[in-house]
Amino acid sequence: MQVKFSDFLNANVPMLEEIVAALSKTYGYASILGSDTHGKRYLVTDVETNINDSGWNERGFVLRVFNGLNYSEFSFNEIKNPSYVIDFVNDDLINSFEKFKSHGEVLKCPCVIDEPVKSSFEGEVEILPEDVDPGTKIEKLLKMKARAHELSTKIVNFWSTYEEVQVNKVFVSSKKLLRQSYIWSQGYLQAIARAEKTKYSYEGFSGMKGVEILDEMIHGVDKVVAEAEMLLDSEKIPPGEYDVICAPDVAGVIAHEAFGHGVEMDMFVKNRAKAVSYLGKKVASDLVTMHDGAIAAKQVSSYLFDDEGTFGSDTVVIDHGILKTGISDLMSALRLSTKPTGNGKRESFERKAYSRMTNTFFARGNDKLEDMISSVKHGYFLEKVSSGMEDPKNWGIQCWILYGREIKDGEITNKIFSPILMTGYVPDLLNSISMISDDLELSGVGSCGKGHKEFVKVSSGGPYIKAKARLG
Amino acid sequence: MMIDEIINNLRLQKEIDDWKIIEKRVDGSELFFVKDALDMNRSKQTQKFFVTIYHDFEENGKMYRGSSEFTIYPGEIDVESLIKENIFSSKFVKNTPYPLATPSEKRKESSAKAALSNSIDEVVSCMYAERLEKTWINSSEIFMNHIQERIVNSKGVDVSNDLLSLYVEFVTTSRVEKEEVELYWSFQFSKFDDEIIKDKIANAMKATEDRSRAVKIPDIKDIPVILTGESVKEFFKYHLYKVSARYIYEHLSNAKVGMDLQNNTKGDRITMWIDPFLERSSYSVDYDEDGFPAKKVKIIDNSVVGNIWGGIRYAHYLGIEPTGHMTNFVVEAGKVGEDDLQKSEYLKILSFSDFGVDPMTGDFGGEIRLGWYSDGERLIPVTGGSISGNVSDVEEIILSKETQQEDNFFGPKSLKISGLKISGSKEL
Repeated sequence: MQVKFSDFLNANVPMLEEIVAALSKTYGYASILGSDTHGKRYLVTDVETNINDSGWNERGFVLRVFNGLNYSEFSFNEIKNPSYVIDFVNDDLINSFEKFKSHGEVLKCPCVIDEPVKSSFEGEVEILPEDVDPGTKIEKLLKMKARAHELSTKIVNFWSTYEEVQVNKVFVSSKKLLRQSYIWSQGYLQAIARAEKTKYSYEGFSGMKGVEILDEMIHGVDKVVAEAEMLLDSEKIPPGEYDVICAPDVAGVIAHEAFGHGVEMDMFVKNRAKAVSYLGKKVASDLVTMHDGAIAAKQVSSYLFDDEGTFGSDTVVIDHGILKTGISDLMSALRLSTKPTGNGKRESFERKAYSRMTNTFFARGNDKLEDMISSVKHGYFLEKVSSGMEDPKNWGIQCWILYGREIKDGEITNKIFSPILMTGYVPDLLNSISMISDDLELSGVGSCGKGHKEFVKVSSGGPYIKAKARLG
Repeated sequence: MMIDEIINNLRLQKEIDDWKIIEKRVDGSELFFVKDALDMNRSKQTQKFFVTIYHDFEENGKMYRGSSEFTIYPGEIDVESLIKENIFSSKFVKNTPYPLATPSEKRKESSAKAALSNSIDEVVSCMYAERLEKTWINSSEIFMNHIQERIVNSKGVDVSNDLLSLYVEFVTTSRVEKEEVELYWSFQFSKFDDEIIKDKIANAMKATEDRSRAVKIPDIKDIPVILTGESVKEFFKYHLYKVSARYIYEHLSNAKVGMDLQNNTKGDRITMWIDPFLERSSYSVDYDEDGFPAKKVKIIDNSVVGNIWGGIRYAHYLGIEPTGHMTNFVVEAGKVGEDDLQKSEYLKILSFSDFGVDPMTGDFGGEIRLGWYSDGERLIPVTGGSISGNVSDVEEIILSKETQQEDNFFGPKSLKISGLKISGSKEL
């Protein structure tokens, strides 16, 4: 079923064009991104049910003008009339900039030179959210909860969450008119088990999908309940460096934290990325190839154009161990005289655009998972990533992993360790990758921040990888 | 006014038993710097209406309260359809009934109105006042928001909060040794205070210089760890959520009034308050999101659960008095000075990659970006490695008598804990 573009944005396009035309005359470049993203989040727990707006909902505009030296922006969500916006830019936004310029330094940025283009994209899903009533969605979530309690008496609460989001964006400059509309959805199961201690497990589902994702979720209930029960018997891992097999979601977060954040090119502008001095050099094992891009995979960060009106691409960041290039927003590309890669993303129309990841993953290899496990004398099979943190300047890495299964003499034992904190130096970790499976899985549940804010939707993943890592 | 249009529409719908609207206006200024050069200036003006409609119904002899939450943006042309769509959704939500806030004695409303453009310039001046030869601010982002909230419900509540929020994020870089190193920092307050900002910048610069001299953390085991700064606030979130009405209702916590939360832990006993009026906190409000007049309440007294905190809904479910939603929390300081905490062998951590505590399980830890290791004689700056543990397994806690404020937290500046794992860099 095809996703229909926002009536609200369509109705506002003439006014946006009027504002852009007037401001382009004065400032040389002006653009507006309009967003109308709407969706619902359904939550069923043991003791309550909630239907809320999705946390990703937004409706508003962000205007950008060239101020003669760099760019000024205005975020707003009401167009009383075009002249109000034009007057605000002239009288307030630019005045603030001029006032600062009179006594402070300004980092220059060239003016955007747009190529004329008109394009639009309307995504497709199997089942549109509006075609299924809320009662049916809640009913399916209730069935998941009931199934969880059939399976175990140790489950003290079971959460099933389903979220559907329709993204609508329009980008207007004097030469560009771009429209896109697509739907992504995600589901999340969480089983909380209690004996002497409390433990939980979770399973995420995501994709450029509609309501059909609910039917995938039901198949995850048994696994997540079994894991939560199993974790009640988990131990703390003795700190040390070990051989590890990382599941695709763990491999994905390594890619994401190591050379995703590490090659965001606004960090190049700030001289915050150690990667700059390694371009063209070996940073990982020869087996490692890594991609990022809105068109590199079909997941929750797949789109036609980014939040600055640049078309999405497929960037090969690492090619057989050699660092090739970074991922870039438009402003950084102008300053670095490079080509923007369609990675300029905003948390919402209310926030600044930065270089951000889209779908980031290691390419598949040639090994079989069973051979990889057999090759480990003593190590751990790491599954379920909880969070990660980047360190682009000094290449540290931190990943919280829900649990690890012990591998001894090539066999997975019954010993479980949880949670596990994986840390290390990025090149050491990537150079230690010695086997890569022929699988490829991406997941886009949750969100990614830059530092501790600016949360955007991304996906990450890859195959199973074998590496050496410090665990604690 | 748009809020009147929404209220009129809600009143016309017979299937709505109750409703609540939070109108939120934000007027913001933002400056972005690379070193001390302006990268971009931004302004923001937004208005949103967060609406909840409630629909009560009976099924098989049992009463339920259905609800649906949605946002209305300015310029919405079909408010009525949006409301009707959410009435339909609410019929599938079967929650145990709970009341809404009712009108309370009007508080003297605070006003945060300030000359935003002037203040943001002063923040910039303060931040860039200190210049060092080998250490500098690599980049910074300054956000100043004036937030006006009005909370209205069908029971007659009509109250307001007027808030100011200054959020600053910055990265400091140092090249004392061969390789440049950096550290990430952020702070948030509701008031401009030049001394606090200058102090934060000076401490950040000093810590970054220390990181540039740091060596890999050695293979140390079973020594006490001293947490400082934001990680202290994060550590106490376990105790805070343990006594949350929602956590208890959802079976995520087994806390009860009278329970000792530090049965197996020696040392200082924790005393914790929730305090909606904490000075300088950008979360301080007169009324919570239900329009309930928030209160200062002692929730943990010498490690014993004194009161459960929660908003109207979850307090009603547990049959307790509501305290209002938590905004700020305060932990009472200890009796020992920081100098006395730093005796014998210890690892003091000034900066983590991302220190976190799981409020459900109590597991905590993080990778160390800068710490000080004392072997009892020498003091060595260290980096890399990690700590991990579980709050329930901590053997001893000692709180410093010196205090700090991290936006919505006020409490000890340092916390000494033993009984956790340290992962050093010993090669295997």
